[in-house]
Amino acid sequence: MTDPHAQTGPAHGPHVLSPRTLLGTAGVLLGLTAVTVLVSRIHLGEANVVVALAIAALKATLVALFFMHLKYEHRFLRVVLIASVVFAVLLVAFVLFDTTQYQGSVREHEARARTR
Amino acid sequence: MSAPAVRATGSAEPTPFLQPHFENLGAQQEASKLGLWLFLASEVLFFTGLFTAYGVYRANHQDLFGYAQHFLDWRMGALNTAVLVSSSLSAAWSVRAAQLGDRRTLLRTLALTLLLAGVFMVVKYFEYSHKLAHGVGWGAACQPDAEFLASLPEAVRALPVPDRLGTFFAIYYMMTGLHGIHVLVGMGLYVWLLRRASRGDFGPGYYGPVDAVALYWHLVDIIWIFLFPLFYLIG
Repeated sequence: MTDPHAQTGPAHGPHVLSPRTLLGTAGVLLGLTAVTVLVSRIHLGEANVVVALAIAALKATLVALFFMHLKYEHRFLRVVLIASVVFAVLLVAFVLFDTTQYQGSVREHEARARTR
Repeated sequence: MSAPAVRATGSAEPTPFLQPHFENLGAQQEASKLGLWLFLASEVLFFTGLFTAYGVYRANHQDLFGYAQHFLDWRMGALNTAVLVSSSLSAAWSVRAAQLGDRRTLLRTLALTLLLAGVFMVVKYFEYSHKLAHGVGWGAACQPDAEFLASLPEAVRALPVPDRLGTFFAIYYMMTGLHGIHVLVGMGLYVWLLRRASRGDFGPGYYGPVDAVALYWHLVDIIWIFLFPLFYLIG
């Protein structure tokens, strides 16, 4: 943030990202890519999925905040993005609850139908 | 054409790029940015439908995902992740160059973004053609040949080929294919930006299109950030 242009907010014209912020963000993203590959080599069972998704979410947040300027934008743009992410999570979560909740009874029913 | 620009209070110089229904370029830029973010929100939800399909199929057929993961080469996926992250860096840098009026850097970063997008598609082409040549298609067309099966790790080779392998690859081709189409669209947009930038359209007063395409490009990067671990890493 030593770049003189980095301090200008939306009220005083556009926000210009400094080379340090740009390169730093890319560096962290590449580092996290290496971390996610390394962690996937360790067998943690279902925790592997959680860790992989957590790292991906962190990377996505970094891209949005810095590369996409969201950190420096008007709050309303953040509301738009967060709303879409909330609905995305709702869709995936509730459909997954449904399929994991009922799959057992479907299998039971199939087994019973087969023996009949 | 120039009348509204003269009336404008926010921007000093008259410009041919100000639409008549906007007071000044600042207002125009803010409005187009909001519109673009709404489009990105719809893109997030569009891909969520596909991620849901992935999640449901994975929840019901965990062993299949553990098996099919060995059909994908994580090195190719990791390489493409690095390529896309670098192209995102280049795209973000092009916005900076446009904002500062640095035309040389703008042209270079736009060309680099386009080049890296091309590298991504070339890697994808090698992945797809290798699989399709060995019978690893989608649905009923997924009949891996002996040569492909022989290239799998020994522990995987011992297992029988699951019936539903074709459905896994239907999800894989659908999700990575739609992402690939987004990359191709992005490449088209960068060709357009390069033409406009070489004409000298962009500068500190007007860089909306550079910003908008970069935002779209970053979203394409974010989607790949999720696709990579889900398909290549976790089995």
